[in-house]
Amino acid sequence: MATPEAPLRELLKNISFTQFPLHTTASFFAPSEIPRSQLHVHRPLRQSPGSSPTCDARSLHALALLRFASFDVDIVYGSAPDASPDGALPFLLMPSRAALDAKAIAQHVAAKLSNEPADHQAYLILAQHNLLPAIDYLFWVDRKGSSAVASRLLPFHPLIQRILGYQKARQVGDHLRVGQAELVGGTLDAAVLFENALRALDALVGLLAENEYFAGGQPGRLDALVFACVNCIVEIPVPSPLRSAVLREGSEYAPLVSFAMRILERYFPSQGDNLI
Amino acid sequence: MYSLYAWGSPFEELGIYSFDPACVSVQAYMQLCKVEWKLHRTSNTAISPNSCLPALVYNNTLVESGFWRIVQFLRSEGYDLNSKLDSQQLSQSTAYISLIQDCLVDALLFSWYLVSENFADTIRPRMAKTFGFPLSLLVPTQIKDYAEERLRYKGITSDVETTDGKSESAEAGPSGTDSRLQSLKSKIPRIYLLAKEGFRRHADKSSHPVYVQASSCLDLLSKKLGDKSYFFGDTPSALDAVAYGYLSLIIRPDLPQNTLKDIIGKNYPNLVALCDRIHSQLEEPVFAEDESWVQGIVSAVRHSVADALPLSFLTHKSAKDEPGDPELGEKARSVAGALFVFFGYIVYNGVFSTSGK
Repeated sequence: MATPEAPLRELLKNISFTQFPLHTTASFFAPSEIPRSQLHVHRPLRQSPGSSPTCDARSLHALALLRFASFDVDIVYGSAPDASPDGALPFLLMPSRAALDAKAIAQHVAAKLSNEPADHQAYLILAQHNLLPAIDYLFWVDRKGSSAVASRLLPFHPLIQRILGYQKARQVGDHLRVGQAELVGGTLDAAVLFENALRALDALVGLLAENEYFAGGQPGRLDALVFACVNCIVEIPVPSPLRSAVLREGSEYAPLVSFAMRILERYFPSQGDNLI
Repeated sequence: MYSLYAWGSPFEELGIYSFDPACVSVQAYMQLCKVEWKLHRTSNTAISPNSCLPALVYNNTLVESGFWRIVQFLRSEGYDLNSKLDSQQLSQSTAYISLIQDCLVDALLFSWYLVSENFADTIRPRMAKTFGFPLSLLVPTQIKDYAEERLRYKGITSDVETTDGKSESAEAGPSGTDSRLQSLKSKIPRIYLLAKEGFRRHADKSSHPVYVQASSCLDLLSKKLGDKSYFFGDTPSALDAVAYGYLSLIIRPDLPQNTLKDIIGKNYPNLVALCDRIHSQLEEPVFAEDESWVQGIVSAVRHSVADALPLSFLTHKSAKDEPGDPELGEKARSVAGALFVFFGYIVYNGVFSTSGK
């Protein structure tokens, strides 16, 4: 039987002493109704036929996952992800007003794409930890890359763009530095990042071999991630050892480029569809 | 003979010669390849151009630093553990090494540095003994700070409530009462949390998300290994060396809260057997003389300053660019740093003072 002090103890467990017990009222304007789910993503680098619908690898990854799992969504371009649970693009806004961040989107579609070999989990982590960091570096930390891409990802006044770009570069740089395999104090070395990315591409070329998709007949989670990364490397016109190696004539990574182009043609035939 | 510069070890009596899994992996790789080498236990990362250990030196010249570059170099010198693997196996080896390096390391760091009892009772005192005074005052805290920073970036903290599936709701996103409670809780002053829950909030529970992630990684590794002696048959590969480097640091030391070790011991006996099998093949390395503590303390201070001020001149160029004695610049920096610390100490403590007239 609960003691008389129990409710007080429960209250103490949940109360925050940094907040007043504010009285809240319902908002005057109700949020607008949306008939279909909306995926909020970054803008594309250029809007032309045959180019990908967004220039951000994570946004393209989420979009590819949803397309592979046959989830019909509208694409919304934005740069202020206020409604995103993790404060970043991409995020999915559903008619029920629930919002899913990139991680939750992947979990949401995982059930439909679950027939993957066990090895693919290791390859997914390989791509996540070796390809995405190199692309992040190119986008935000590398001077040429950030000036080419920031105008699309941060469509603000040039001064605001510079400030936000600097903040983002610091944040990404710190993140990449502490995420390295060698512990303690290593400085951020772009050459190491690109070597890691090329090693990951080597492994992925070996896995793809002559197959249409990594998982066989149907595209899966690994296909979505590799497609997004390779597409970004190919589409973003920033000189880097990574891009040179991938686009070199007779490159050993040509099967991955063909794979990315194949998915782009098949699943993203034109950008006009479902754009808001 | 090659010289490997690596972090020292608080568990040398257990046959582990570094606390850094990347250093242990390279040591295992070199031993399994039968490379002739000697081990320099150091805390001076300035030896490497990108300030990371392990670093491989040949004829007083830095050859490479970092796990992959050293392995690549050794491969080009004919010491290749992967020589018998086909292209498919090589691809798998790269993927599984990445899995270990990126997933297992978080659980290891959490267990060593974020579980207060483990750090306070075992890791810190042993590290202090390894590095000796005055480095014992600096290096263990720096490493703990690094571990906290790395895990914080990945959203892992020791304060996550871990009982009965609440961690899962914290992972699932902010919709729901549990996440609102979590966000409210994060605003409660830490001193209040400490008074209310005591050190129990740092309890090392197997349901913590970091251990759930480690378990899924170990599950994949265990399935890959199966009943085989090594991952790719009867001879060890680079993947086996890396698996040993990370697993040995979890399995062999005894910590006050041994959740991670218990998970592996209970659920993955084949991984424990692999670790023991490789350990039985390793011999005690030839040790070089320990470095002076001056170099170490200069390196520690340099890292503190570099962390606080992101100044490009504190990072190093490639050693190949330095003409003449490759250690000359390093010596000069060591002396300058030592003088700076010495005079700083004197001025700070008021040993020299003026009358003010």
